Amino acid sequence: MAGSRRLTVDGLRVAFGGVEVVRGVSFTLDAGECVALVGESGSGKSVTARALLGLAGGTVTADALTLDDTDLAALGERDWRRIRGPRIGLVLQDALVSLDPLRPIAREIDDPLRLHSRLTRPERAARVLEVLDEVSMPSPETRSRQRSGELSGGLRQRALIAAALALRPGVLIADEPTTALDAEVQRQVVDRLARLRDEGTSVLAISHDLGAVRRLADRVVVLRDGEAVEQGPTEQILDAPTHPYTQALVAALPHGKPRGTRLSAVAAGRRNSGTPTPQAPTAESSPVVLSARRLTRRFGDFTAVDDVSLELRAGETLGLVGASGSGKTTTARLLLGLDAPDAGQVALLGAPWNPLPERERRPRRAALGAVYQDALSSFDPRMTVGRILVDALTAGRATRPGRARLPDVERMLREVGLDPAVAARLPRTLSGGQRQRVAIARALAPSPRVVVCDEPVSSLDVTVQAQVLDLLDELQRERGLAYVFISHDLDVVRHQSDRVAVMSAGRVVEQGPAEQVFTAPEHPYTRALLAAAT
Amino acid sequence: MTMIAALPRVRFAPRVPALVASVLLLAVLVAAVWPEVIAPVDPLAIHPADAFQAPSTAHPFGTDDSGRDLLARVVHGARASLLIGVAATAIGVALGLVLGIAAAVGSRITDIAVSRLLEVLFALPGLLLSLVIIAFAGPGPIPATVAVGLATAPGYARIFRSRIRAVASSEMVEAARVLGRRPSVLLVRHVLPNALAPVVVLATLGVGQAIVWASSLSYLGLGSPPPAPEWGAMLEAGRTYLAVAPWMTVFPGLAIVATAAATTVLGRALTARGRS
Repeated sequence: MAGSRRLTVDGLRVAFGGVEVVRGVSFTLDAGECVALVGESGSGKSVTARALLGLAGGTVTADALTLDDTDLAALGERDWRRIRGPRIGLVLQDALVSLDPLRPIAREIDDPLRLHSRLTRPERAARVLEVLDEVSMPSPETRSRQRSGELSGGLRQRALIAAALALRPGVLIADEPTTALDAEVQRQVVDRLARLRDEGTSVLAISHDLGAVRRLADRVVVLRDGEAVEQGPTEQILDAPTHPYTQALVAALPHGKPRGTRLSAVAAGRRNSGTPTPQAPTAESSPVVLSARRLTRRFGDFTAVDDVSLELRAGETLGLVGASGSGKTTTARLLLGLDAPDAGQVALLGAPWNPLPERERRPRRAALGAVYQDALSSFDPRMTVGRILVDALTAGRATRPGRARLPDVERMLREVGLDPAVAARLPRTLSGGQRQRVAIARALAPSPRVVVCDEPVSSLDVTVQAQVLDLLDELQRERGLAYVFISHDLDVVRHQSDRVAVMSAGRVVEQGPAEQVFTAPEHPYTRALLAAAT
Repeated sequence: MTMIAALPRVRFAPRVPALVASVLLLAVLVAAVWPEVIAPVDPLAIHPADAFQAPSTAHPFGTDDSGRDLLARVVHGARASLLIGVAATAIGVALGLVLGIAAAVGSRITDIAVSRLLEVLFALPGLLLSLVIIAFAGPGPIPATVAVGLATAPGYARIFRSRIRAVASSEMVEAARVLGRRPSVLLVRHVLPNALAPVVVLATLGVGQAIVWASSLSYLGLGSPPPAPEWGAMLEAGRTYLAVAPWMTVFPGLAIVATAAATTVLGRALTARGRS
């Protein structure tokens, strides 16, 4: 069985209203093999996968589209229903929205069994528990009665995999199965999928996370604008890519790139800053611009931030890492003065900052900026980019970009590598990368000394992430900015930070120079975190 | 997400009902502004000889017990009904806005006081609340308008309160706070415009409801007094002759239903557009 051809895709084309989004993609999938489709958003990965399930919509054509001996191209909707579930399983990316919040997961997993098998009710119940056990769900009996809202992200993802596996399909399609999961949980999910593959299931993984792809996939197909630009064995593609696009994709990964080296090609639009100058090591003598002393914040019985002390010097980046729920964002809110600590103090530029009445903080707010993960929701949806920037430039005195202010707005947009014409657009009409650039421009408008970046690149494609990280670096060098850089992505933090603080359960368990923390971690938690990510 | 984006966009035609509603409302609007254009006959002119005439070419909607032309009366009644509907909604929205803002951004005590008051008002059905208000203020078109407006205010206040609170706790307002904006600037520049936009649409829905309520009050003899052409009052006048002259109730009734339905359909269409 191992090694036999499962799925053949030859010259697959999918068009929506005359626009082709998948343009002649070909690949094969053997039994017990994992093939990964990689590429950025809009490259046609998900549409390709959905075409294999008859769910793409639009106009699907292919020279050959076969599953074992079945010609998928000739199937009608009724026939598809006998393929989906029993023969091809699908694991979606967002387990929170893919599971019905009102039904226990046992019923979600039971659905395919009820519809496609002749098992009796007790047999189905037994199979549900069995499959939950297969995906390493802890205490499956109890968990099966819980609803998706009661489960953590990792457990939800496992429940979704279990639902896809209930009918033992020969082919499993996993669409971004690890996105939005913590490193540790990601590793568990990847391991689980790898085990399935070893047991003979063919896995088609769709991912933009090249780290997960390296651990899971035997072969990689690189998609760009609906075309497969390169495919081959994983090692070969990731270590010695031949196509320029794949090279750019791999080069954009921050993994193993020391601090201060560029990740992206020199940005178009921004003035050519020439060869990257290595980061000047921040002197121990530079002044402390932001400090937190013994910060504690409780919500009821839950201590979100527990006795946290941090120090940020001018011109340096302090990385803050930890799993979700470890208190990173609460710490950021305390530093920004958006929330008051139950104990401890924050000082900005040597003067008390938090706790302090907002009225006294307000005149000094210009010194402290913020960049958020979801740039779009941090903008007023009614305001154009130009108005957003004028508002930030004039300290809120105006929002209309009059003739006098237009040059300033254009200069700011150019500085973050955007076309000045963007000023007239609404943020929601911009791409993710453009939005984040606008967010950075807004944060820098009042000329702050410190910028708190909370997961600033987490929702961006890897090449866009590289550009934004490079931009942050350049601006730091030019303006002597100090960053607090929060991320759950260890590679990103390592690349971006001078010093790193590792958080777990509200405490800073380890703090020190980035290289030291990453190469010689002292605390067991840091070691576990690093082990999960490699 | 991706899957939904990949699905072909289904284009059924929600625009047809909205279009019909717009045309209907336009007709009502013309009737309200220039009733003479549609019905040149005097709606108050009595012709006892022509009483109880069934719809005919001379009187398309028939005549009433005093021989008045019903088409003219229905057309001339549009102004009163529309005015009451819009004015009552405006009163409701304005009062709701004041209460909603007070509850949302005021102190905890203000919030508790306003919220409890709203709950008490909610306990009474809206029409009953208007009746209570008219019991104090006496009947007439203006008290009826005010009564309907006051009765709808609690609903708007609730919505404003929750909308304002939701927007006030959004990341975008937080971002403005980080930039050092004062609370007054936050409220006026960011919170209110974003909180109110959806309510404008909701108010369109409210106009239809207010027209029905105001007509109900007139029907009970608490709104416009006869012989003024007002749809609710006309219903009441026709009630006695329902067996002999059903057109006396049917046509004003249809006018109420059509106007209320048209504003509702249009309001819903606007809501749907706001969502997409």
